[in-house]
Amino acid sequence: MQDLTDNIYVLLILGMTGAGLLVVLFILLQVRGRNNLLRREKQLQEMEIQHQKELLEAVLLSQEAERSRIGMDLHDEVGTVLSSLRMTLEDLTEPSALPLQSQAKSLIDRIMTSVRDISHDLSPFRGSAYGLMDALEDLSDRINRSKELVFSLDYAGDDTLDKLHRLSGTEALSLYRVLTELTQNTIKHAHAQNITLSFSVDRGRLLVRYRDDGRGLPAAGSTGLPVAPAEGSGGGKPGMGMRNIESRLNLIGAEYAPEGTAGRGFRIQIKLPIQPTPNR
Amino acid sequence: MTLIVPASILIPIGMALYKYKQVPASMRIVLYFLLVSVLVYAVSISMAVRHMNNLWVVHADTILESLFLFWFFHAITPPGTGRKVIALLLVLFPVFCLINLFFIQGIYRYNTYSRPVEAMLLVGLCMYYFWRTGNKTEEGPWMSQPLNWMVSGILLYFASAFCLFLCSNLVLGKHRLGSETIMVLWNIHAGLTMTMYLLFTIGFSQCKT
Repeated sequence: MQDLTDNIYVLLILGMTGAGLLVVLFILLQVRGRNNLLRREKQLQEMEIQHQKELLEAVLLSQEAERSRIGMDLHDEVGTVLSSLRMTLEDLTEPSALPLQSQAKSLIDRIMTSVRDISHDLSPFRGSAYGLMDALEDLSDRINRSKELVFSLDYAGDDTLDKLHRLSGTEALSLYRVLTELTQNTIKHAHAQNITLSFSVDRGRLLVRYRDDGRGLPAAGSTGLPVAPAEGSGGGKPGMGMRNIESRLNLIGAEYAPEGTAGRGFRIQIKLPIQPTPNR
Repeated sequence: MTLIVPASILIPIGMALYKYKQVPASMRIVLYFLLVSVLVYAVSISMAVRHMNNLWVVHADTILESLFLFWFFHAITPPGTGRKVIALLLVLFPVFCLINLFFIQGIYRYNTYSRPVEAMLLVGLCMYYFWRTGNKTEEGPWMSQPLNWMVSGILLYFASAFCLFLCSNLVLGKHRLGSETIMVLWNIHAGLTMTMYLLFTIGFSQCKT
């Protein structure tokens, strides 16, 4: 009887331990299986995001190429024809034609300025050694020339200028497009007196601060960027311009934090990581 | 061990009460089960101290335990055939326990027919839960899911103690084994119970709003 009970005792302990180990193994396999599934799902999501980013980049690059081509055509073809027309008008010497000549020359000058501005907007960095900075200086001059508001541009230190030089073509162009879009919004909707744009460097990142003293924006959009009242609409949905801003900032991996309450102006801070390799 | 295991039940109860607002309704059933277990321990210990036969408490505990745990699985199972089967078990199993108690094994023997059946059914329900949720990734990592910990606790305890339930009369009945041997088996059982409580505690602690 003693032998029998001893055996049962050993068998019981073995049975319980075995069952316990099997359960632990089963649970560990569950944990591993779930974690593998999650990892695979995350990888798929990352691939999908990367694919979307590449698609967006391709669309924006082809858009920029097309803009650049149209800008160059406008500048070279239309600009040249207008210059020729102006010189032809100079040849008119009849006294009766002088008032008409003066009026026509004035009109041609205005057209040429407009064509130059449009061409510059379409292809901002063409013929410029300093790319983004020159384009922004030009934008600032044009806005200040209009005397509707004052545009101030500030670069904090040589380090900032160095970082700006090191921006890639896509980064510089995206940033320029974002800033012109913001400027357009301020001019069209904000009734502002001043725009301040400043660049600085913070912990290896380029910090861009855009601020106006307009009427601010009433509501925050679902994307985090404020709702810009779309032209012809009563506002409420994010405008195309704002979606463009968001797309371009996401494309270059920039973080952004818009702020703006009704009546207290609009501000946005953009943080762009700078790659350590120079002369990209 | 006589007092450590009953005392250890206070840990998951404390955690559940601390996180009470975040604990979902389905997991509160486990809290009710633990509270009833405290009562069962109290009755069992007080009878043992008075040298009274407390085997009827084991029978009653099996019925109460199965009711709460089947109710818990009913609550965490989405509507469908599985849930209907659990609802049926909620009614049929206590009836089976009562038949066993009054007509088969009696009140003065371990319920070695009903308890292993209960353990098998609960292990089956745990497996069904893992089979159902194994491929679902919407809720995040395995370890952040409170229900996974609760079900793991139940699975570990009932699967491991199944053999002991089966052979209780053979090895734990009076005059079968020496008291030292019985103590070793009870210690293993106590360890399994405390592990279940520990996993319940982790489960409750993982509850978030």
